[in-house]
Amino acid sequence: MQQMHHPCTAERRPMLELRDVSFRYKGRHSDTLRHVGLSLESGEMLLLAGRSGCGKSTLIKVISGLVSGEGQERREGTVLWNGEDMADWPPEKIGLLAGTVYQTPDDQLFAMTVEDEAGFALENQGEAPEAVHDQVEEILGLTGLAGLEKRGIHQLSGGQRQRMALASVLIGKPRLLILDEPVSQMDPRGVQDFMELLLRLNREEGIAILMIEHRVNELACYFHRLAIMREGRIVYDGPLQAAWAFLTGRENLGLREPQCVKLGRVLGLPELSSDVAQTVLQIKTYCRPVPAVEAERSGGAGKHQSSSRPGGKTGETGRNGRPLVEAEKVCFRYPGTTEDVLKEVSFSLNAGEIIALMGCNGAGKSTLLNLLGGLTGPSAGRLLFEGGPLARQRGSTGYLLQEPDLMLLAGTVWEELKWKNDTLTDAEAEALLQRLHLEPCRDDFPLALSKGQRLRTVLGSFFAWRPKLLLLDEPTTGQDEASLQEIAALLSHYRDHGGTVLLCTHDVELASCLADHVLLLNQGRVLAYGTVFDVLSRRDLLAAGGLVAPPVLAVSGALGIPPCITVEEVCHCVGPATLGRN
Amino acid sequence: MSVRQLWEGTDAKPWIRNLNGRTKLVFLFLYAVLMITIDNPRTLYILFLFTLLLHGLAGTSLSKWRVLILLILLGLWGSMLSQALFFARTPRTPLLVLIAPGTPFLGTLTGGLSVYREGILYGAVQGLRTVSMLSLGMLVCWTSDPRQLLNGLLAWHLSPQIAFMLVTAIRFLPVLASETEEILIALRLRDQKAKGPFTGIRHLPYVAKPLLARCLRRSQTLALSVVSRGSFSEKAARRRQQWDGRERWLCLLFLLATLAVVFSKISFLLSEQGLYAGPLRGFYDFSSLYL
Repeated sequence: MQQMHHPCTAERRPMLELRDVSFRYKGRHSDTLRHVGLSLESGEMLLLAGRSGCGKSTLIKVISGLVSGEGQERREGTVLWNGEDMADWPPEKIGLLAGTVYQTPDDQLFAMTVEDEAGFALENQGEAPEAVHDQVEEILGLTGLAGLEKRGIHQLSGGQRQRMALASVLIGKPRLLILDEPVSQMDPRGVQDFMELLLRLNREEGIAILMIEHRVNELACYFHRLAIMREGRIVYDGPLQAAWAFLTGRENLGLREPQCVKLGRVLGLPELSSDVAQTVLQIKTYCRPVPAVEAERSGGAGKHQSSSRPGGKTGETGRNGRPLVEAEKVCFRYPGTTEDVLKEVSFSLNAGEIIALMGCNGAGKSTLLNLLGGLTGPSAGRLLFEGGPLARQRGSTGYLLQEPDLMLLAGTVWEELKWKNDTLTDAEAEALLQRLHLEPCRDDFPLALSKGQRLRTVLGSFFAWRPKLLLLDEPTTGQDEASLQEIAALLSHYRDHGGTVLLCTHDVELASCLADHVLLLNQGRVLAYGTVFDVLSRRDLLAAGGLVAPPVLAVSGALGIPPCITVEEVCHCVGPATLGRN
Repeated sequence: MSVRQLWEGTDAKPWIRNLNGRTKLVFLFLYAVLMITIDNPRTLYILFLFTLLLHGLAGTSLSKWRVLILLILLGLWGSMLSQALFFARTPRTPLLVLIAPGTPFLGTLTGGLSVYREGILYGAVQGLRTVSMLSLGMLVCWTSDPRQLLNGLLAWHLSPQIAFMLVTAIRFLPVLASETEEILIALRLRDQKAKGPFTGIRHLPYVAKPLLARCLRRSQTLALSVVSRGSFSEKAARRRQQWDGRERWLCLLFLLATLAVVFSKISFLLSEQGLYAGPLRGFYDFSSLYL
């Protein structure tokens, strides 16, 4: 393990310390945790990353005292809290010191109303109702849920439910907050709000934070320390900015690196950094603009037309240019409501393209997908598929819902691909299995596979029908980098063979690399529809659509080169680093 | 109102929401005993109406009333229709002959098919038992916080694991309802050949697998969350012992009333078998008229 973190000295004892902890689940042949050593000071913030299945969630359970190592489970090593062994502590005692917030708040909330949920832990401590009430008020105010005391937990929005989960553990005044992928289902604005709340708790209340998350690219700016797990071991623990050098040549660790780090790596910068200013400084120091761009820049920066994407895809038209789907002034209103969710939405999707459907939560993206998927009809306007009514095109569209697990119905992966589909021959199914990289799981129960494998199985079941249009509702949520790359490759292959994808996503970096066009919605209206470059290189549109600009856009702006939204585009404008040039 | 909101109880009146979990469970249990004991259709009908009255007093919303009425009608009609057609005891009075025994083939095959008056009554009694419990069970589900029921079961020293499992089913009712809806949508999307009005029914056998798999994951997380918030701690156990005095008295009265009904019914049945005791005549009359 690369241990760069401050050593624990005798004078300053860490708040939480794991010493050589190993853990094996009942019935397993190998350890899920292997000799894990980790320490956390009071008030410290640590980001823990690693591929799915590397043991992160088990580590949380060990810290929380929720796996005992009794019976056929095996636990070795010690977990210390302020130097005291926690082995004999009951989970509720640990729970008050180290509160855990899980990935899906729905799964951890137990009570009926907001105030009951928030006060649950204190009630269990035998606190008087008046004291519970006062503390609930305080904690709901702190987490931005004041005024919602009587509301049912199922009536809260996704972001509010995540705050509710946070409030329910904060009430016990924990010294450590453990968060298991808490932002994986949030849009960029939600992530920002939630992280600001955590920073405030850390700063003002001195609460230490241990967060597990794949999306290191988005969270790097909030943390100073990163630990990386692989196959049950901590392989890196140290300053976040020093991790990028460690990760060079270790792409299989499942982290989504920040764009600036990827750029620095491609350009061969001596120091990799997730910070835009630092990256710009290094590029200016060590790299030289390519001559064509320099000439253009000398003619005046900013003269570029928006469509002049440096070295990127132009994406002006689809591969064959014919419209597959046309929407004409489509409106939709849910029964019993007074306002349209979609307001005169018009666009056309060309065949052979990937179109990213973007916008903040509540913009109308899922409603639009439901309309295109034939689950409901528009209140007004027309939807055409290959020039005819959309309703007649049943069988030409595959629609992957936001929760792919709910679409897995068969007993094995093989049966899943062939489920109610007699048009798929065995040879074609074999080829599809190979393309999905699921041959080893052919006879496995789909719901027992890893998250990425489960998603690929559902995608495969749609590919098996050879649809002309594929609708995907945030398919990359909670996926690690490797899984993300596999899904991107599958979609590119599908597009290259004439398929059309409408991909609903908040992930600007993914859209910029994968999509040809972006359809940006805001409050039920089309805010922008154009090539991926035309939309994602405009900060005003991104801000209005609740999206975060890709970091390389800021890099290109600071360098005075044409706007860039991908690493490759910057590399077209800037030559690789020449060490010691200046 | 979303499917999820339909199965949660924040819209119920505070008086019933705030009742102790044990009070609700005691009522549910004693009501079940009464339903088994009583055979008189009128009394069963009155008890059924009483459950509806409780729904009214609890402020059950219009959407929930719709669901409740649908389930009640299905339960009652299903029971009455099946018993009307297949009532086997005698005497039985045919009200309508659907297939006469002498009808070629079908008559020989079935031995005749009629709607029997006694079958309708018997089905109504069985149906009233079912729907009364259904109605009261729904009332408890729609007005109870899972914490109340968990605390109630734990206070009676039920194993924490079993108590948690029982209560989790109620906690997940809203989630299950919305996920079932989502799975049916997913099935529509997966089955490209599905057409016709009965598609949803054809898809029902496929709902269980993804639903159960999700439930397993969810309940594991919920269990971890509840344990780490001290739900099974000693302090929580001490707090659980608190039970409002008035509610205790109410439960005690109901218990005594139920015991009286059970005693009355048993003594009446024994008297019919020849075990007659003169001082119990009042009980016999009461049972004969009302039970």
